[in-house]
Amino acid sequence: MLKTEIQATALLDETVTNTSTVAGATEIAGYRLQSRIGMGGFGEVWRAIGPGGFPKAVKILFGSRNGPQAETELRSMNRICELRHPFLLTIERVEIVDGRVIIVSELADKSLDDRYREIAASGQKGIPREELIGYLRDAADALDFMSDQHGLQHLDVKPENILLQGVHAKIGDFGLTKNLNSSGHSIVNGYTPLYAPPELFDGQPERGSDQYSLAIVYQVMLTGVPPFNGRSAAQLTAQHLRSAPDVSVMHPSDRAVVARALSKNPKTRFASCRQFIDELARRRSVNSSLPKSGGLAETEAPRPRTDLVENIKASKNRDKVLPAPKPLRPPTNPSQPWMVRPTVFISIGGLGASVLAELLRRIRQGMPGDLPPSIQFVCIDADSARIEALERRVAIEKTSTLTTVRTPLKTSHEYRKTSGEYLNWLSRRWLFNVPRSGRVEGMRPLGRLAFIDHSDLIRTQLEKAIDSAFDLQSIEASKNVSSLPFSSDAIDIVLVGATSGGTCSGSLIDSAWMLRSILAARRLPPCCLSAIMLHGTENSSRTADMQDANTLSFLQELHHVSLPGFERPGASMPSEDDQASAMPFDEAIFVHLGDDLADIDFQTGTDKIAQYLELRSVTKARAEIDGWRNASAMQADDDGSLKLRTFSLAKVAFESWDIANSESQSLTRSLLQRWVAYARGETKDSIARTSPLGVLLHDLALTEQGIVEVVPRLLNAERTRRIEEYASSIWSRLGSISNAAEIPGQIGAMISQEAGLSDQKIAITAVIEDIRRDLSAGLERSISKVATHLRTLLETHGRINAADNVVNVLMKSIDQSISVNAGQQSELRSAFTDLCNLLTAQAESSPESVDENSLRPYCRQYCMLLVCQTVCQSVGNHLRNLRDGVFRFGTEKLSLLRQRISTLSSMGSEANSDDDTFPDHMLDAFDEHLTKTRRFELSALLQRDPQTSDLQVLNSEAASFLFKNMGPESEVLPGIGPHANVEIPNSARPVVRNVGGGQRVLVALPEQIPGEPWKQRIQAEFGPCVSLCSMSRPDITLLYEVEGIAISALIDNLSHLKPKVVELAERLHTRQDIHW
Amino acid sequence: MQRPPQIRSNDSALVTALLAGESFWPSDPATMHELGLSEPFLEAMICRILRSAGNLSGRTIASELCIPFRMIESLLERLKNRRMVAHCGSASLNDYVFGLTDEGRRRAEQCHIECSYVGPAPVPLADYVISVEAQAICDEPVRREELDDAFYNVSVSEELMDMLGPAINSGSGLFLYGAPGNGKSTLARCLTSCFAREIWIPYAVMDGRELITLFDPAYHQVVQQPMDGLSYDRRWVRIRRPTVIVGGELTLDNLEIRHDSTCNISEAPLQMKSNCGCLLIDDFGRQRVKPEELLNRWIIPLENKHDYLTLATGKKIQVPFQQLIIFSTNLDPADLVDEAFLRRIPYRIEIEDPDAEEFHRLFQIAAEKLGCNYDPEAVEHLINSCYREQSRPMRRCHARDLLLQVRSYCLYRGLEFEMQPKHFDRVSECFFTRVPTRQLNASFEIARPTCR
Repeated sequence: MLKTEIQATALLDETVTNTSTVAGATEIAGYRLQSRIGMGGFGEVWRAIGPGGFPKAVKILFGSRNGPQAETELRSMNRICELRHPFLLTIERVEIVDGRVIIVSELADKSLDDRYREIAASGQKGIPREELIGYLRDAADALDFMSDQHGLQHLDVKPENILLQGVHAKIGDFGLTKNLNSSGHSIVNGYTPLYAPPELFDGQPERGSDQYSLAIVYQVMLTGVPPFNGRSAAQLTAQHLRSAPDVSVMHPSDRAVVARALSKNPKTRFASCRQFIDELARRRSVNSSLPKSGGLAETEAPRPRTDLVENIKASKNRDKVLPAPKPLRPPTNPSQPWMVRPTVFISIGGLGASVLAELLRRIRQGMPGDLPPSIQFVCIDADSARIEALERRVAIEKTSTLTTVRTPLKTSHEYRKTSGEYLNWLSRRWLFNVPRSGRVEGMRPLGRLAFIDHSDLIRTQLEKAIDSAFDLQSIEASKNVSSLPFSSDAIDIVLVGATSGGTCSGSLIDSAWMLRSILAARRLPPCCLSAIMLHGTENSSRTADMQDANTLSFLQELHHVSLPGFERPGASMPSEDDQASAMPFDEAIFVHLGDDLADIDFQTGTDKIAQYLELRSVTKARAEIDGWRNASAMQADDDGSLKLRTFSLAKVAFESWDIANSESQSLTRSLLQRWVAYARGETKDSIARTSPLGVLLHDLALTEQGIVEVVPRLLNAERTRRIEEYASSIWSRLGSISNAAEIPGQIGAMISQEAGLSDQKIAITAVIEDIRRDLSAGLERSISKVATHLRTLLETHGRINAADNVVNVLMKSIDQSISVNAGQQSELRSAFTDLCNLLTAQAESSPESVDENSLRPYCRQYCMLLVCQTVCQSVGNHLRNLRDGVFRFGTEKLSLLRQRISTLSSMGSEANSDDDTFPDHMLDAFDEHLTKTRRFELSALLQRDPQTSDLQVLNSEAASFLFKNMGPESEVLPGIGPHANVEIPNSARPVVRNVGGGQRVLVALPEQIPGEPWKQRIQAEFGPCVSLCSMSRPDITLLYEVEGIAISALIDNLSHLKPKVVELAERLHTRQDIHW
Repeated sequence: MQRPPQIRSNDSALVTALLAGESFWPSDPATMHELGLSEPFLEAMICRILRSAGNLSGRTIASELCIPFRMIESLLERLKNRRMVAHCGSASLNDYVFGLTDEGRRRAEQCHIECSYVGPAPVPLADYVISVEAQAICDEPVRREELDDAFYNVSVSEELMDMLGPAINSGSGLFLYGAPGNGKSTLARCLTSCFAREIWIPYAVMDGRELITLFDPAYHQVVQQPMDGLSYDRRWVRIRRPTVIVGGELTLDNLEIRHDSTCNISEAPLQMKSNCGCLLIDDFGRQRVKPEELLNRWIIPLENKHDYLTLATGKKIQVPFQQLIIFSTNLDPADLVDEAFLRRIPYRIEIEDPDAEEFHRLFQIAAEKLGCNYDPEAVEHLINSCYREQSRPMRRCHARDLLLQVRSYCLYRGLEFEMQPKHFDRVSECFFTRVPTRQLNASFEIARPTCR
């Protein structure tokens, strides 16, 4: 990957901020770090105090020692360590500390780049030629030495790597140094596109490669204008390979020399760097010796009317490297309920309208019914065609919340009649050259003209929108239609537009003032007026320059008007009021969409903005973001000027989620099939007492012990007493015993006789009835117990097979019990027989011995045995019933369930039949997941037919399961997605980075994903500035916000090395009655 | 999918030009409406062109008319359908050679009698008005540096410069007076160049059916037309900002639209040709018209910044009057007009004779230009012998004129072109006539330049 952008200072990488050490606090290998001097794509450089108190430069490489960067660096260290030359920066130590490569070298005063910035800040366009040639001569000596003596090419010659010590320069940073004699010229990417020679892009550096870079360094440092004006790495590459360099900014005598050093063919360059520099030096001596007398000849050279240098405004920030944003700790305010405020979204220009269209689509997607009338949309554009396209896109007839305002320009003829009112602020040039199309065509002054021209209309429409958004009735209505918590304490107004386009850029500040005056007139509750300012350039260099210039010009104006004490001249707008001194915006967010964008990239960009607006307006994340606002309001800067924010938004591991989604169906299907399949021969015989099944068996008294105890349990004390009572009553009724041998027969006859009397319940039958009733109630209970058990089992890991198993075990146990019962019955029978025989035998053998006393217990025993026998039979019947019941459940219900599951799985399998096979452990885990979440219950299917909604539930569960397991702590899915090491997408960082300020990160997670591991993961990347927010949507959104950006820093960033843009921006100021 | 905002290519030339600092750019017309001309009028022009030039290809006709071919194409087709023109052959790029039919010839004769103009199509008067206002000379105030630029090769004293600046910015008239030969005309020319140097004017202007030709090669110096792919309306021509100089020959008729009744073409008056530039009325007071009358003519235009002209039809039209008007005279303004008139022209600047020091400098400049050495002693000799002794006033033109004569003399005698006292002696005999130069300054006692 190329070393990011051409802006050398844009090479900051936040990873360092939190992984690097804090100044002063740490020692590395005996060097006490003092302050960071610079950062690059490969690492950062610190000023450090070494042993003995000598200041040194310590370079700490990113990544581990085994990383590719460290390897390259170490390899080139090996090459360079033998080199001794006064103009090569001396490397003193190479260490590996904590797995990181540390390089200690001598400390230089500053780099050539620093020197350039000093000069530029003092208002000159570049380093004076004599001085520059002095430095470059040293550099050339060193480079020639490397090349001639050692066959090395440095390959990263740039102003940051030419270090100044006193009046001499030294070459440093040998990270890319390459030996040309060694075979295999493949070089590691990492060069700086602005300075890279064409042959490097082929990976074939040659002898003249460094000379090429040196020539570019010369031109840039001398004039501030690079010979190739590409802005992206791709553009620069193409230009290095094919375009002729633009050397016209230099003195004519230099042009040919630099052009030769910039030949595409290394062979046609100078023989050595030194020769190139000498040639330059010689030309100057020729120049200066030219007779000055030909004064006329001198003046023939075109005299620029405006001095470029003057325009590159000196800025305080120029001379120091602006740090990457500091991580700010999330505010720890008590979480308040989040409220949606009535909001008016206003877009100006085409790009803003795209944002609103997308936002409208998103909000509508979330709300099936009407849109809440408290969220109003107003699109203002001078281009009628674009407004019409927008109306078509959002199908305007369906929404009463969108207002479109067309503000086409009139023709110059029409303006001419009333030119007086415009000419006091608008240059004639614009007023008399209004494009015939009526469009603004990217010219900011015309953007303002369109706004001023239609200001009455715009004002009316804005008033209407604000009124209808903040109307108590519509707030009520909004609560009803959207089920969002709307509040009526405050109102939000959001202006969206592209400052790179003319319509918005020209009128954004004025619209803000107009809104302020509307709000002041209405006496509405407090209002937060935000502006989202978009910037992006197209891939044509002319329009790109213009877009840059528009934004630059806008920012300069914004800076100007936000300075304390600014007063607006003249009442050029109707109904101005005392708000003149107020800041135009309460909150200004600048978003750089990127450079060199195609239509589709703009689309992506606007979609992201819409997503952001949705996030911060109508979702739960709002509370968190509001918290940020409050926190930063408390620590507001006191210098009074407006601070900007920027943000970027990314969906983390979005592909993983996609994969999860696509995989979810087949996972579901696999699982369903697994459920349906019969597991063979796994019937467990031994069941622990404590296992649920054991408990169940115990409950059902199906254990061997249990079944034996059933009868005595049924015959409890009370019942026994009643039987005894009955036995004694029978005894008394028997009277005298004539024949002891007949006694059993008599008792039996008596009992059966009495039992036959249906209307007169005798105790013994009543007891038996009672017991029977108990048993049948017990049967129902048992069956429902079994069913519950089986249902529970269906929701556990084993599912149907487990239920099958349990059914089998139950059947087996019941069978066993039945046989035990049968044994008992036969025992009782034989006991009864024995009893009768005993009595008979006793009576026969010694009738006299059979007396009352001996017969009474006999009678009681007889009754007891009789009852026992009956009870035992009943228990036998009961067991058989239970067996039937269990069998019915096992065969009928479970097979029906299997059938239903098959139906369910066939519902989804139409899509594709080629099933991915999932490893068992994964299916297990998913099964586990389902049992935990209990969103899908298999037992529900016992009662009803499957529906597609069941499948949807399963699929979404599968997706969230898969996704979750791709998270930082995944153990389950080694095959899918980046799990252990979540790739934070590049887009999570804003394009504009090195502008200071503080950063905050919000991670919006789906509810089903555990937040903490993600938080840790993202904190590792961004530092302790991460807030979490769980949302009911299925993606992980990462919002990265930088706050407290000074406008001047942005202006610097945009105008760096772009004098043409600076000049254009001068021309594109909206008003000529303000001295910007 | 909605397109993001971007600058459409059709007006990109306009945008580029405006950003490059142009104050006006004639956009290439895309429709008949933007062209501002009626179809019958264009048809008549096509007929006249074919009548005068014989058979022409469609593209040649378009380029003669300075109108995009795509607009002519359908017109030609219609003329062909009406049997006015016929295809006489094919031309390259899907084009034909057209010729008039008999019917067409009759039509062309008729058109010719109505108006015989053949040439670039006119632009509507309204467009012209816009262009003048956009390129007006007083659009942006002139600063000292720009004045320095404009006078870089002329010797102008600081005081004079400081008087000229405000006068230019005021946009009203300016009196330059002083002895002849002191560079009043040169000064006027330089003044024009302190504004952006090039402007656009149309070849001809049209109001209703009245055609007024504007472009006049005598006053309008064509500069290089934009080449780098920027499209523009070809009915306009890019010229150096005009400086129109008229002398004693000026009459009041020159200041009205001149109508030629035989060919029914009107010609723009002088002040219209000098719009956006500078109108220098030289030798003011020597015209056949009385100075008062001439000045009266300017009162309304100077006050209102526009002028009323009468067309041949009797219709009065309003045209902008955006220029610097300079009256240059070697007479005393007070002699010419009374104070009431002078009030109308607030800036009155005297161009004095050079002093000896400046005279030296003038010689130095002239010597450089003509390629000869500069010898102060020779100049000193000249000043003593020809000026001081004879109390003859020095004039700014003398340095250059004398040196030219020296050069001619040297050439004739086969001598090296050098500045030598003896050469000066030789040429001064015939350069300075025996007729004594009028002591003009006698009547001005105020030696200092005055500016009331």
